[in-house]
Amino acid sequence: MSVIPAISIATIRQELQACEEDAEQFGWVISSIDENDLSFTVRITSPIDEEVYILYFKFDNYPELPPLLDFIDPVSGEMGIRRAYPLTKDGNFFHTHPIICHPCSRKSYGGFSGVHADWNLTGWKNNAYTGSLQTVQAVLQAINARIVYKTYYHGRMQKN
Amino acid sequence: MNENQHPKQGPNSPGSSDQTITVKIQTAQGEFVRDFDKNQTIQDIIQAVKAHFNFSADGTYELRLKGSSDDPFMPQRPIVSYGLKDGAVLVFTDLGKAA
Repeated sequence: MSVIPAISIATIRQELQACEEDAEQFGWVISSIDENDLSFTVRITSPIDEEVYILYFKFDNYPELPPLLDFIDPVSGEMGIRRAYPLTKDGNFFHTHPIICHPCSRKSYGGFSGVHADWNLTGWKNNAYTGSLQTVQAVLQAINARIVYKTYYHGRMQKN
Repeated sequence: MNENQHPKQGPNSPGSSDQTITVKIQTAQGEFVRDFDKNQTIQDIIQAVKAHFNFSADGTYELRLKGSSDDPFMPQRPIVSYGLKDGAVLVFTDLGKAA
């Protein structure tokens, strides 16, 4: 099963339009879409400690498959390391593996981090844990809340 | 009461304007405008939004005043306790059910 890249790109472009108000309110810096890599990034700055988080959003085969979500260290450019991730007070959404531990995140599944080898990539929207996190806006809002609100934000996952 | 009813203007609810408040709730699924009795709780708003947009019954959600970085509204508190003004814009966020 695969999704024609043009379909994925068109879907993402449409869903990104819905993010414009949030982006303005929270100061998200959303990159242009890399049509070769089928990805974009979102830069979110925590107003609590001014730490910068760069979310990598790869959307090949989207929306049939969930996006591959990861964080890029803003200093070294390394991806998928603890220093790149925020930490949250409300459970394991930002899992110290490190991954975003949710069905909307491809790294949660078997074949990637393997943390949830019990989940199926196909039909990810039917996973009981997915809820409404099925669009770019909903995913970004859930991530953003854990970075910008002191209720959830607990600093950088690894300081050094 | 459904979301299309406006008791402040309804013929059967004279004098009810002091008791109700109209709020607009923004979600990733769309916007939702509805009147609530001020003595209802924040949980009543959350329940109404969940029902309107068919959010999962057992998800994790928060509701806050748009633009506020304070803690989210506490579900058990009455709406009136937050001193919201008529027409207040609230933001409902699905935080994702903990896996």
